[in-house]
Amino acid sequence: MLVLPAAVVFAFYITYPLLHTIVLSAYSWSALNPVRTWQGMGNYVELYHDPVLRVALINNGLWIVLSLVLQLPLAMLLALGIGSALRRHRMLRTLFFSPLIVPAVAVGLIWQLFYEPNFGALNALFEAIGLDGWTAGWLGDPKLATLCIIIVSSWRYTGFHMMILLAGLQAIPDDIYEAARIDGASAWRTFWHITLPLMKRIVLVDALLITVGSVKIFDLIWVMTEGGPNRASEVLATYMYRTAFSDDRMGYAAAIATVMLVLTLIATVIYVRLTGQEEAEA
Amino acid sequence: MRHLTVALWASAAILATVALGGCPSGQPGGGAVTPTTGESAGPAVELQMWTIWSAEPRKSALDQIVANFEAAHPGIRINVVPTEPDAYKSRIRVVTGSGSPPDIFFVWSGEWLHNFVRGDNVLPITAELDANNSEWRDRVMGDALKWYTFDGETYGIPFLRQCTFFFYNTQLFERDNVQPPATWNEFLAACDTLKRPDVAPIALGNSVKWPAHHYVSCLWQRLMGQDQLVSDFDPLGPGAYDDPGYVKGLQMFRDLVERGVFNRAPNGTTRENARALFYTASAAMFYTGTWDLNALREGGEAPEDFWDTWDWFNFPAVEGGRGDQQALHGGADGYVISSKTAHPEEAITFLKYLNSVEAAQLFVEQCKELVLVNGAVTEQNADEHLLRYARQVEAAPTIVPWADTLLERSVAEVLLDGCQALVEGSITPEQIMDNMRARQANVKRHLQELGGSSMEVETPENEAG
Amino acid sequence: MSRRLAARLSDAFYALLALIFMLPLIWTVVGSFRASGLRTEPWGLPERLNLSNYAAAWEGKIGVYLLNSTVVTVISVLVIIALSAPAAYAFARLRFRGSSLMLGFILTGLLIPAHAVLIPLYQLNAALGVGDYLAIIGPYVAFGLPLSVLLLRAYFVEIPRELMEAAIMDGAGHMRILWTIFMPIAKPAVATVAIFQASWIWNELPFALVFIASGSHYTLPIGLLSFRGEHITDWGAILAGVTISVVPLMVLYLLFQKHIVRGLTAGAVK
Repeated sequence: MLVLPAAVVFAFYITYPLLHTIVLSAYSWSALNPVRTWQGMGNYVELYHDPVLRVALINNGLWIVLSLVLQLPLAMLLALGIGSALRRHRMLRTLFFSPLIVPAVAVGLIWQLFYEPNFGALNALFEAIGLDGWTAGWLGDPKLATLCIIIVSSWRYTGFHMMILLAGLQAIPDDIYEAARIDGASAWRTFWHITLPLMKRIVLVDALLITVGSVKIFDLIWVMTEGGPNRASEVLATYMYRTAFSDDRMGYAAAIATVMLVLTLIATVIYVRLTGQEEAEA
Repeated sequence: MRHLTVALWASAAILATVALGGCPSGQPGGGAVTPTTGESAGPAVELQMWTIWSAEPRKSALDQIVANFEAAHPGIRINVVPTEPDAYKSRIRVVTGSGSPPDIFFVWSGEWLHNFVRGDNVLPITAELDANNSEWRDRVMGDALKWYTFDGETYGIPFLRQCTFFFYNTQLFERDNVQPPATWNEFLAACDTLKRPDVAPIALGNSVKWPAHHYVSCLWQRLMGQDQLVSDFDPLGPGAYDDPGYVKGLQMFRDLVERGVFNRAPNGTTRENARALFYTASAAMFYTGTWDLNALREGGEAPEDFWDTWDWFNFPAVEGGRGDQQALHGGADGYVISSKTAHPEEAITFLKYLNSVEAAQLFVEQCKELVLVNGAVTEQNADEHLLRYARQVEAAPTIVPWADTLLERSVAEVLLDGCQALVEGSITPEQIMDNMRARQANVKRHLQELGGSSMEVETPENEAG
Repeated sequence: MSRRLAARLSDAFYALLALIFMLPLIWTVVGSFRASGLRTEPWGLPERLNLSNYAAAWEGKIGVYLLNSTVVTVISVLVIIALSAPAAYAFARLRFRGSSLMLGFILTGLLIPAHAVLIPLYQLNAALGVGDYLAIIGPYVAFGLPLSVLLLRAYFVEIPRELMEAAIMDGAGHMRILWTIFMPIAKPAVATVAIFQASWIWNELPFALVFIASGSHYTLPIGLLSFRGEHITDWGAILAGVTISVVPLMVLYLLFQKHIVRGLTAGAVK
């Protein structure tokens, strides 16, 4: 019964609208026209052959892998390095967390200026140190656009993941470390054999958060490239948004949303399995 | 688990029932409880008006027009809700889709509006325009109303007229002894002359992907003419695009890219930075809309020493083209009334006022933009740039809407993506046309399923040659 | 190498890293005092202390938006914690049938993009007849729940079982155990949840944009957007607005940060 209030609110504001969306994915309809025509699986058949969906799926995959690779180790490093109660560490943590409290629109603008090919600081930097060959169009280059935005996202969220890992780190009793120190274990061994195993659960939770965040990433991409150039940085969420609100193909957009939901379910099942195993072992 | 789930769904159902049954639904304007007029003559009629004029100076100008209107019509109150333009596109769709649109709202002309008209969301005002010897209709400048007319009914008023031109740096032109080119070949020659290591002939900021499409749009018009474009673009037409002019126009733009006339990485450059390239003399020309007039002249974002060193010329004529080579290119933003409004009469009264010379002059005075009301721009309220622009619009044989506003939305997206890919050279003109044909066939099938041959675009009058 | 020196070096390394992380924010604050040239010389310094951008931001009713955002954020975060804590407790400590399925059900919410449910949610709000504050607080709470449940549960699981069993022996109910034993111990996690939810809600845009009908109820992100015109944007005012909007969250963060550290130093978890 403790779960009930949360579940009711959740079902009311999320599950119900979501089911609604899934039902609508079987139709072809416009937000501006009350007439809906039944398509059955038609939207999904079209999606299956849709080259843009393929680009979006590959990009989302790239987002997941690179975000995990960039954010998790860096967040762990920060949590270990400046996780203490020292005043200066507290100050530093605040600094690392600060990118998160800047609105996405502003973050996008600032980094757009940084990457800007003509006036931007990045190209200016390369030119100043004689690496003219390294200058590029960055966000305007289809091969680099996604990577550039992933870096911004990592910059923005690493501090947050540091906080989560820190919460887990603090749950580890001090005396375990004390014992390790007396045994003369090196810092690396202590981390690998004590800290990491004890933090496994919170690391998994954090990895799930990063994965999930990477699947539904939207605002930074929308602000910085709108999924361009020529769809090169398109992901599921931007593709869905464009399909719904620019192309006005609501049914097709609902089908894309459903694909995203299926991906969530898979990620969640994997997570529940992994943690379930944990509990069984414990 | 079982009874938990049952309990959960039961309570959700109860909640929903109570909520749905207990409250009056469908408040106009999305739940904002507005005092609607009772039978008594007590409270005023309140109209919701949605606009994209969220930034200054347009915001204040509109507020002032509304205040003047309310003073003259004590029985009507206008509640203006400004939204940032990009966000507006999704916001207006959501509220329209759920059946509670604002009474009066902003539209972009062409297919964007047509889409709303197809779903029966907009109130036709043809009768009102024609009343009193079409006194209202005659007030609207030029032929702009035709882009608000579908199947003989007119669905709103065009208000702002914006056209695209080549803006150029007069000092750079003088330095290289270049005259504003009148033909495409002269234009190409000018580009070659103007090019220097530190000066790009043209600034292009294509991160939003429609600026590059303007070139293609203009070239198509010059090559094939407006009438053919309008009938080829009709989503219910054959969609064959078999005129070689389509591929040729795209190829001409690609050749321009290969000639190296643009700044570095146009697809990574924002429109604002392209403008900055232009006013820092890093680019000699900038193809942009008259919306940038204010940024370039006195009081604008450009540095003071730039204010008097620019001018503009129309898109060059293409030798051997079938279209009107003097045509301008532009759009006409305006306002429409929702077909669901509870107060059509009051809404029309306001629209009429918005379209009056008095309101238009006030807007011109404050915003220095061209309002489509005859007599709105005068020597008293406008500067030399605006006056010249207004005269150009008046003299233009026709003003052709950009291709992305004439094409069905999703087909337009295919063209825009194609132009962006053309800038980087990862697609051929033929492939772009194939993609457009495929998308349009899809759209046609969908529109036919909805059943309605009445969605045909009204073909505008013949383009005078 | 002495321990002290190693600590100094590592601190210097992190400080340098922090500086890089802070650059964009510093740029924002510096830029908010500049009168011109944000585009052409993005890295320039203000010629003098120029407050015109702040005047413009204030003129744009940023104060009203600040108040609206505060009301919405505070209420939403409180409700999120009040609802998610019992659920997390149940998932962490009570073995009821189908609990993992139920957890999975709530966790799906993590992945749902706001845009996927925008139209049904709008219709729901219209049907309920709620506008403005209530229209966004509901969805904020619902969308905030999954992450909060997940984080709190992960923390609750680590709390030794004996603590709970001892309390049950004393005859305490689950709610009392939760609020008197678990929550105080889990302060770091609660603070983390509060900070994260607050920063998300503070900056949330899609819902606020569509669900808030009247201009007087606009939250900060919409307020900031209104400085962006169709073709000309007042970036100076936006940067000033961003600077203003970042301050309250920064204060909140500093306040909550103490709790996180206290959780550590108190050594509550033994």
